[in-house]
Amino acid sequence: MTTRLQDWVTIRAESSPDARAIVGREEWLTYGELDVLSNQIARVIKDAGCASGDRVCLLTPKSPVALAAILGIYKAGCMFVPLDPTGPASRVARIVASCESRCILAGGAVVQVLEDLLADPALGAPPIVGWLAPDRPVASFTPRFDLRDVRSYRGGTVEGRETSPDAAHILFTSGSTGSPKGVVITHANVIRFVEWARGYFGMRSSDRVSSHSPLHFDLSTFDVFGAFAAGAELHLVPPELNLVPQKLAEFIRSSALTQWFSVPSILNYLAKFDVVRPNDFPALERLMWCGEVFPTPALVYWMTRLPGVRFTNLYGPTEATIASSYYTVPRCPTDLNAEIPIGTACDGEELLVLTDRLEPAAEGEIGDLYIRGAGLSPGYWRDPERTAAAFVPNPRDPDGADVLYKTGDLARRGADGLVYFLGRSDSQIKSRGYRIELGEIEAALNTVEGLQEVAVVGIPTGGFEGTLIGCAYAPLKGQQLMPAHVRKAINALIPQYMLPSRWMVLDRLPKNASGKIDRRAIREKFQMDEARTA
Amino acid sequence: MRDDITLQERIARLFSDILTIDIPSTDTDLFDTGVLDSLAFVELLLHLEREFGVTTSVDDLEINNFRSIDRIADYVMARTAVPSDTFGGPRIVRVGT
Repeated sequence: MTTRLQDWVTIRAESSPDARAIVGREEWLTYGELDVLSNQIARVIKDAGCASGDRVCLLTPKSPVALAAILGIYKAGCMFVPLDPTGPASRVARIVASCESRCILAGGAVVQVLEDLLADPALGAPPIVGWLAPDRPVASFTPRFDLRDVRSYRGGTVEGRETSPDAAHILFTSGSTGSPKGVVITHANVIRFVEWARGYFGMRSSDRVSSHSPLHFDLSTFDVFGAFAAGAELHLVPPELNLVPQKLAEFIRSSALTQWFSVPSILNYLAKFDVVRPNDFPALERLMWCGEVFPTPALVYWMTRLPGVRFTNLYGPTEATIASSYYTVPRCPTDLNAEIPIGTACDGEELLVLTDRLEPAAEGEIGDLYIRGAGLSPGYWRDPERTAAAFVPNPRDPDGADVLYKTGDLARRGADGLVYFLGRSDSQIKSRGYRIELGEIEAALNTVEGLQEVAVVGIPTGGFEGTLIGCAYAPLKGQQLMPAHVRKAINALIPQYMLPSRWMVLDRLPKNASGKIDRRAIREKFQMDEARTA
Repeated sequence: MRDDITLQERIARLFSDILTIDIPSTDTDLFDTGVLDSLAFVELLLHLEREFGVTTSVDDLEINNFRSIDRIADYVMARTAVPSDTFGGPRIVRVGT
């Protein structure tokens, strides 16, 4: 039984060193090369002063070397922290500061964001920079080592595996107060899910697996380690293909992928542009999505065109590791309004639909969705308060040791025994698969000068677009403030995917009876607008 | 033909004024830095058509032509140097992801 995520690669490297592990744009790594390169990276990290349990950040677009770096971090006994290479630098700096990282491994088109984050006052003690390309950049920072140095290290097995910590990575997600919260995930968390998925989906070494999600997004954990566990080929999808659906379809076709896993929004996009031909992608065996609701009309589009493919809905928050439940759609729905359940719990996990008093909700009754079992994170990084608020003792466990994670999602259990997802119970939304706290966007907006009041709402469109982010604001009296200006001002504080795409400028925002901003009224205004322009 | 530097400046201005995206330098990788999403990309194609008369068909475009402001300038130069009736019809569609 594997106990560390890097073990699968080592095992495969011994049996089939020449099998391809990771296929990038123009380059690939075999399992043998991947094992050696990750050993070298582990040694260079240790040499730079990183000790067991230290957090090592990765700031680079996805590439074969970047994935070798993740394995190298684990082999050095360190924890891996993925950073969003698209910034913004101020947010990335807060994450680096929060995890007190000693080392950042960087490479590719990240010079600007890295310079800005190293100069950010929030950073604290500056971390060492390791450059994961042979040529050092012209920049204001000086890397401690580069890929040539890495290559000069010994590639044999790294000692100390037995004593390395179980914590594998910290994934930072949007936090309502404006500060991102770090979810700690263990090797055991990931291994358990991957072993379940490998068995359930029948993954094997001849698979060609998509790697679509960015590394700071937890779906990527399954792409990467699912492929490694099966000894399969991982195909990195160039992110710019997302811009042109025709090119993305061509990539799936020409790479002969056998497995596709992504957020539904990109599948919607391909459906909307009708780029999937009847019986397209002949090698494709299974298609999975996770992160948000896949609108049934788009699912029907896919299932009609690809009748030989298995379609599976996965559900689960980052805090419960990749996914906690699954539902394979048995046949193409005939009703475009059919609800697709989130299904049943994966092995070792349990979904509970509970009332306010933490008692099981009756069949068909709406309740709060809780998860318990092997997927649960040990908690938020150095944040006992938020951990205690979200990970609560199971009232039915006499010892009090068992924990339930409160997802913040609403659900009901159907007569068929399956669980159905009904949306969020709080101010969090999902947009293009990203989990976004509207409060984090509002916190950024509150730093913009000239604003009297502001509110951010999720606009459910019900159709192909998913949830849009709408911002309504009132400028200070006598001020002219254009949405383009406001958008630009918050661009440096929050990632691109959090930027509102719909704007409304009002003299004053609507208020409810208690004098609070009436977000429901604002959301309805936006929805009426959408309906008018659709 | 227009001066090459002017063309790059004009494209940079299109980004900052119309798409409200500040690009640090003309060789910044627009894809790897994540500044272009699908909506902004389609808007960019639309404005290249309006501003320079360069129509781009999404069916046969070469994505790498749009990787940086420098590359876009090269592309615009190449496309404006030949008669415009050899291009396919405009195939620009509004998207909303």
